[in-house]
Amino acid sequence: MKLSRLLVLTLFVSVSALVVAAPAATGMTVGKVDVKSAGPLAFGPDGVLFIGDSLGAKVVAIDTGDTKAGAPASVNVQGIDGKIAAALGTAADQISIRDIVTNPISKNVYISVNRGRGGDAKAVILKLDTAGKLSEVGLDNVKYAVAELPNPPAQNNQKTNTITQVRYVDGKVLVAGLSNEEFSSNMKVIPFPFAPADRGALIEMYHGSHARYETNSPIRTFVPYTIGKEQFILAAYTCTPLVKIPVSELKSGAKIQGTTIAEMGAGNQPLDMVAYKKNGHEYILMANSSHGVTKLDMANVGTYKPITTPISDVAGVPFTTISELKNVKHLQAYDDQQALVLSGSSGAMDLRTIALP
Amino acid sequence: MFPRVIARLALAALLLSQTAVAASVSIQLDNGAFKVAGWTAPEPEDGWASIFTVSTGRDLPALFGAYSIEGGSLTFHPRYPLASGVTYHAVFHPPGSAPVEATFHGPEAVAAPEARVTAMYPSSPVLPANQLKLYVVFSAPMQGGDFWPSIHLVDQDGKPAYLPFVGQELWNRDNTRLTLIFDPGRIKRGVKPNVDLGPVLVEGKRYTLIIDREFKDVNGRLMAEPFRHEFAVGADERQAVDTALWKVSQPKAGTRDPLVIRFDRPLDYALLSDAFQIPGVSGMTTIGLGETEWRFQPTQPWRAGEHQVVIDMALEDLAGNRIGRAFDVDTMTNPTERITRQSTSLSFRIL
Repeated sequence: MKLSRLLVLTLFVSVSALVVAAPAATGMTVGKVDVKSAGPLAFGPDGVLFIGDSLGAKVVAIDTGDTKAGAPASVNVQGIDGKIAAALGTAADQISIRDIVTNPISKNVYISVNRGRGGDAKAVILKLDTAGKLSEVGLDNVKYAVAELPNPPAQNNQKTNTITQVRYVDGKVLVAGLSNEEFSSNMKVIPFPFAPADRGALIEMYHGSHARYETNSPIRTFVPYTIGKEQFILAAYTCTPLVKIPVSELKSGAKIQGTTIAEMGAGNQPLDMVAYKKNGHEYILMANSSHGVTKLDMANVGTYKPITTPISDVAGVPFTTISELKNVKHLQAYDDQQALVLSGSSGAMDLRTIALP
Repeated sequence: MFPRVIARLALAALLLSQTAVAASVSIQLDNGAFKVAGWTAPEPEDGWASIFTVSTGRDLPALFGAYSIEGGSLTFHPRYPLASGVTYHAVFHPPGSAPVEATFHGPEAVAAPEARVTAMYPSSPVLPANQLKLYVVFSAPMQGGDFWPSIHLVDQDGKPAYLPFVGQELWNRDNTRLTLIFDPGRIKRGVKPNVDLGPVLVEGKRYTLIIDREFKDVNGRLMAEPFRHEFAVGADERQAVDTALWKVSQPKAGTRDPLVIRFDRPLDYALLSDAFQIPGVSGMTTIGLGETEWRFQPTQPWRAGEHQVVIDMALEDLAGNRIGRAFDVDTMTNPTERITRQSTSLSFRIL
């Protein structure tokens, strides 16, 4: 009798747990998740946070449970790296902020940090709430799922793949990265919720230069973008051209050549992009490694002719430089009117929202 | 008049009691945890953090950590271990008493030899003008982050190259080897950076890679000395790697003579280290001077018969050309073949 009651109770609890679990949390387990290095971040549905773990050769999804809609807010934290270092009990030059992302539901900001500067640095995920309170996102007892990346580097201590961007698009997690040995890195596409042992699809990315020279080229950063009714990613190769790629083409084993829509100039790599609308016009705000922050006018991007001839000047999508934004390390979406910006240099970094230009 | 005297007496008593609390209470650092000795009371409504915090500076947030009562003492365990070179300020402020403060220092840094650059690859004295990567090997784990100002590439006239490398830090697992990728936009023919500025490296010129002493190790210390590596630049290498141009030695059966594969051009140092396998034969491999040969010394004497060297298709030469596929394929003259094989092989016969 007691046993059957217990069973009924257990069944009830299990069913309740299933009922309350967010759809995106399907297939997740609860426990300690091992994150070897904290890298690029992205939010998926229902407060699920994706963490790119380069040294662990995987993408970790955690259910933050942070799904309460937040009121409109803004962020302005001067010396964010010093404050994070202090909370982690170390000096500002002993941490590195790897990425920032806004929870689109709550507007709380999540920050990936490595405490320590060497290969044995500790991965830390932090939350900065809309009241400005900084707290650590626990990874010891969390609802999580892991997608191992295809072809993880051999454990020979030398070969690594550095994840440079993670995004959730149309039920898939897209992962871009650069190898420290092979130039021709692949893009990885992993359906979410993660299926057991699903390492996702490898997409070979090619860059065609003016309909003549073709290179297997790594993509460093990208942003989801809708043109008409079709879902694209706008992607920046390490060799600077900005291309558009239909998400429908990102299938296992595909070999894709993006359509060049802009050339951004020498000695420069795009770091982050934010797509937005203002006064009925569409724009991309792009942070660059050496050319500051640029604003691309995306009107008519669907009808631009691909760049197919050598050019010695700016061509394709027109863009302007936002001169007041300097030394921007990371740029992320915040809300319809603001972007989130991490700028400055080690020991004097600021995290703030800016009005979208 | 009388109430004022009472008030003064009460204040004096309060100050006396505060002094008494302060005198009997101390903060101690015990095995990485901060302890308040000589004081007990229930947890205040606002939590232990409202009366006891540890921080690294006056205006900085308190350390993350957990509170507990251990051996009757309020104890704070920092979430992360104390760091060398950092000062910690512990402040205990019990209700109604003067605060008690103490300062502690993180552990002494572990003494270790100063770091230095031990090698740079390619080791060849002449690199192609479309050289794709450089590997810098350090004697100790180095600090990631803002090291780019410590890396310079200057030409024979001392003129620094304009933004020669992709600004993405790429380390091995223990931060002892840094990969520098030349801006591929300057190498690929026809793209804007190449059209506007030309390649970073110009044929016929000499260049020096300089790593300043200010490139710090993981503990934040400078290197023992700066590093300079000079090289000359030759012609572009735009041809795919062709294994038919390699020369394979003929070790004899029953000997442990090395199998030597001599390449027609230097190959990528890092990829060479695990690009070759001889199924069924174990042994030691070494990469020859200038990355132009691969040597394999078998553990057991060679058996007569047919053997194969399996080669990973990821192998690249110095300019990123692969087996059967050039770095940037000229599709006008060389219709693209996108290689799908993971490996290829070379056969050799032991007699």
